[in-house]
Formats: sequence, structure tokens, C-alpha cells
Amino acid sequence: MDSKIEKAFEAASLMATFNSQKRLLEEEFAQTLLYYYKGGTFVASEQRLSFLSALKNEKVESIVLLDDNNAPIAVENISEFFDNLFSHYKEATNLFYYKYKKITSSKTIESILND
Amino acid sequence: MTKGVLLFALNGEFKYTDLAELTAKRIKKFLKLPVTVVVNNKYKNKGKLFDKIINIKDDQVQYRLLKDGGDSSQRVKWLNFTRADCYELSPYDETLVLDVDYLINSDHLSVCFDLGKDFLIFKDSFDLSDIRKLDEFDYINPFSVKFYWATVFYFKKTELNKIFFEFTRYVKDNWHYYCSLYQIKDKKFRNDFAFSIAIHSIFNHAVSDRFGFIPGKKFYSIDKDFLIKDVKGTLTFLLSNESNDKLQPASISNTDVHVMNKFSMLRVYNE
Repeated sequence: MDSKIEKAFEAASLMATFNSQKRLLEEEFAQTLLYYYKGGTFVASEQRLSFLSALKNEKVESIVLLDDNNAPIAVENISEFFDNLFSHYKEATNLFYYKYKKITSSKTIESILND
Repeated sequence: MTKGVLLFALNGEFKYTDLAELTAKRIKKFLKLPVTVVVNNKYKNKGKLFDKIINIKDDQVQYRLLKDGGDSSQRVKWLNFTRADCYELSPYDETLVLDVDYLINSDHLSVCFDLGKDFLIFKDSFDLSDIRKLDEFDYINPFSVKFYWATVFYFKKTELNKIFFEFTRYVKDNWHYYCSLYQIKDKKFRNDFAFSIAIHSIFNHAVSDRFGFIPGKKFYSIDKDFLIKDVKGTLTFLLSNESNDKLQPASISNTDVHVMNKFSMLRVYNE
């Protein structure tokens, strides 16, 4: 098995590994953007954050939002919901940024793969 | 309301109980839930990994090839006829059912218990390799119903779910008829197909919002791939590429993965 692993690492191309790893990071990122609230599932997307920010600026206190499965979820405190979703978004994007930077600056297959 | 995880480890030539032990340890670590295992022979509860052991007789036998990468395989008994009995077997009010080769590597599945649904299953899956395109995991055939994996699902003990599992058992008991009806070529019984048919028949037509999807996608690697190491939760794989026979290295962290090469999973964690 060890020789199989060595051979695979020797034969793999740096560019193919980078592309494959980038795709996996994007999917990992999509997963970390998921935010759960009162049984609803919300992706912390820029669009959703902008909408919530607009509601917050208009001093709307509560609203019913459709989650990602089109289920209506009553949000009682928009300001708090926005803050939580925004901090979730920041955390996910920071992690993605860190991991992405790491793979773009890697010169070997091993360093691309090590988290 | 009691909550827990139900695993099936029905041994033939391959010892599924070895994988169940590994999976139980990871469930305790990441999900912090009690674990019940269904076995088909005398089993010693090493280190009290399991909170409950259910011994059953599975008389129906079929065979399958368990692959260990592209070059090696083993013909083994495939005792997969009892998945539809989850409702009766589970000692919990809320149950998460997992295949023992589903490698828990995060607390992601904990959310199933907070979504307020009665039945949850993954809607979409994600192949770790971008080289192959496996249409067989989208629909049970190109002209038929959507494919759902029976690898991971959550259910509450409700009347509708009882009907669902009874119907799944009915599909299993009349498997050849359903193969004809749904144009399934391979006549081997697969829980994924039986569940897909039952979901289509029961939940697609029931007036209920109690059926839902596990958020995110089910990540998987196929049996021709290898899991080669786990360093602090970063899983490294060699992914097969049939077009050039090369293996593509890839890694992923903080994500659960269905590792279909069971041998490689045992190698990584038992060595």
C-alpha cells in the first residue's frame, strides 16, 4: 500500500491537485455557510445579508423569511438574526480565505493536501 | 424524547462489526449520542462502545463484490434486508441511522434533531473526485424517480413513518415486481433503491411538511478510491481515475464522508 501511495504522489500533477483541492474547498465552504434557526436552514449569502441589512436600516423588528427549503420561519429579532448570520458568514469566509491562500502558495502536492 | 444512533453490522466474510466499533467511537466523540448496533451473531461489547446490542437473524442472503481500490476485491455475503425494520428495532424516539462506512468527522448531523422534521435524508451528494460523473446517483435510472441514499437518515416514531417503513418492507418483499415497475436492471436488492421508491410513493404524495432534507450534501468516495490517512481530522484520499489509471490525491477536513472502500477505512484506523 505504501508504494502505491508514493507512486500516486509522484505521478500526480500539481495543477490537477490544486484544481481538485480548490473544488473540495468550495464545497466545504458551501457547507460551513449553512446557518440553522428555529428549524430553518439559511445559507449566509451576500444576498440574504443585504436584504436583512436593508430591513435593519428600515427599523423593521420582525419578519417572516423563507428558508432554503422554502419553509416560512418567523424571525422575531431581525437585528440579532442579522448579527448572528453575519458573524457566521465572516467565520466561514475567513476560513475559506485561509485555506485558499494556503493552497495557492503551496509548491508541493503534500503541502496542498495538509490542512 | 430519547435520541440515538442505530447501526447495522451484519457479519458475513467481512466483519462489519469492526467498522461499527470505529463508527461508534466517532459518534461518541463528535455527536455525543448513544449508539445501538444490530448484529447477527454473538458479539462482545468491547469497552462498552454500544449502549444496546440487538441480535437478529437475517436469513435472506445475497452476495456482492467488496472492492479495495481498482485491483483487489472480495466476494462477500451482503445481508442488507433488515434496514426497513428500523422503526421496530430502534429503541429511540428519534433515531439517526448510519451505514458503518459513513465516516463521522464533524458534528454536522446533530442538526437533524433540531430541525423539527419527522424524516430527513440527504437530497444531494458530492463525489470527492471531479473526474467521473456518476448519473446513477441522481436517478434510479434515467427515466425513473430520484435516487436517495439510505446511508444516512433520521426519523421520529410517527404514524406516517411507520407506514413508510411498512411500505419499504413491502417493496423489499416484492422486489422483482418493483424492479420491473421502476426498470431497475440489477436485481440485487439495494436499500437505496427501496428507499427511493418508498420516498417517491409515500412522502411525495402525502400532505405533510414533516419530510425534509438533511442540510448540505452527502460527501462520498467510491470503492475504487482509498482513504490513506487521517491527521487531526484532515482526511487524505487517493481518488481513482479510470481514464488514465492514475490516482489523484485529495484531502478534506471537518466533513463527514461516506467511504465506500471499507478495507481502506479499517487500515487507516486499525494500524
